[in-house]
Amino acid sequence: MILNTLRIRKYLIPFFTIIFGLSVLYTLFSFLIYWDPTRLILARFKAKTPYTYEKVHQKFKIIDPTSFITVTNNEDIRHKRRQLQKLFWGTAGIPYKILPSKIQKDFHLYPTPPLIRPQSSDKRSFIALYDVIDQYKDIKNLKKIDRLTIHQKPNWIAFSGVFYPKTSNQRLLIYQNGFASTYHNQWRLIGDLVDKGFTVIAHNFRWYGVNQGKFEIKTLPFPLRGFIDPVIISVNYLTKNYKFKSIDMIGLSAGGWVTTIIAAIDTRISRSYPVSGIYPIYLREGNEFPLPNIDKIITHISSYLDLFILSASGPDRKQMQVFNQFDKCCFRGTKSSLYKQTVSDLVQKIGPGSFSILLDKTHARHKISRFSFNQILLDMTRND
Amino acid sequence: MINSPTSIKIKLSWAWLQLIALIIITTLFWIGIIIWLKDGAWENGELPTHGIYHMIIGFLGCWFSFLILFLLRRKLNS
Repeated sequence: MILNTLRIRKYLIPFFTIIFGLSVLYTLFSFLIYWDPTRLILARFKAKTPYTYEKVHQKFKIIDPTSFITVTNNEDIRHKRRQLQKLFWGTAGIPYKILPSKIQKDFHLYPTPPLIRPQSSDKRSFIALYDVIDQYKDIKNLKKIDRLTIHQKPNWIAFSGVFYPKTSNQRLLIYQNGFASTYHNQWRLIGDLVDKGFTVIAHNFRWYGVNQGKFEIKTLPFPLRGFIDPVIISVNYLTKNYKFKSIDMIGLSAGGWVTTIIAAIDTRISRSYPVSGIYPIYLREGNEFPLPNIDKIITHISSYLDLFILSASGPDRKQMQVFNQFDKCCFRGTKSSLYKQTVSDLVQKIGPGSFSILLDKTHARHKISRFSFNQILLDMTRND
Repeated sequence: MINSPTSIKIKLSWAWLQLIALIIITTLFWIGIIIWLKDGAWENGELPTHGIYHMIIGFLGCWFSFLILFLLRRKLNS
């Protein structure tokens, strides 16, 4: 009995006191590290230099953005668009007549597993619509889901999901995802958009989800088609079969890059919202060059600042770029302030059109936050 | 020495400190759950789902060890 009491006093109580203390600290730090407002404070505290998030380095300030701009009037815009279209498809003009090779209607009722899956242990990046179809069934205003297959034989194949609302506002919203995840990562935002009456078409980036194919630039006659054709072709299909008052596009990360390119060349897209995905080349640093060879092909024809002007110009056209100031990944800080006014003034001067930038200071992640999403929804609202 | 008034005072303080810590952590845990639910209970929310998983582990650890300590102390007292 005495031995037992001694053992409890000497070993067990101190042991469980330590376990208790560690558990308290673990819970506390889990909250502080993961909750956006406290994570943001920690990220700012950990920043190596003030130029990481807060200030813009002098080396960027001395560069004049106008030196990269060649588009100054409507004729320049038309000419630049034709040049880009030639670069992408070999001929000027958008290939409006190409349609998806396969349309699986009511995919939510009759889901079929993908025939081929990429071999990877990274489950997050290679999820198929089939795997997560149930999570969309809870969307209150969802009427049905179709799955589109866009196949450019023999080079590549891409899949996208179309989410139709029961009560529609007759507006189409394209969502383009970026690297290292799928559009299913944004299921909550897709659900919110459908609940608000939008028809949503969601795309994965070129080699994510169950998209397959050749991606070597040198072996493909038009290497950029694999990035933009799925969006163009899905819009062709939807506008052929349904009437929409507007077509807007949101893209996250590399999806923001796709969003800017599509909006620049295809005027069917009226409002575009690239989120944490694009800076002009001269302002990029570190891992902000995900596709350097592709950038070279594009910048041979047009600077990214020109693309911003092309994306924002035209009747009822607008581009609002969203940057997460404290993004721990990339495309952070306030460097966008260096070209914001120049591009906006030029778009106004050419007219009509609008260019703006939204700086999201509410978190330190690489994502579309609730704050940004609400601002985008507000911006997409029309009076008609 | 073991039964001195100072030692009893310290033991009492430890128990109270643990109880206060448990109350704080329990409150924090439920605040976390409310934040998680309010922003859609998903991975890209204000408090992501994997953050909630970590908090659940810590929260269960707290309650488990607190319960064991409570039982051990009761056994000692009896």
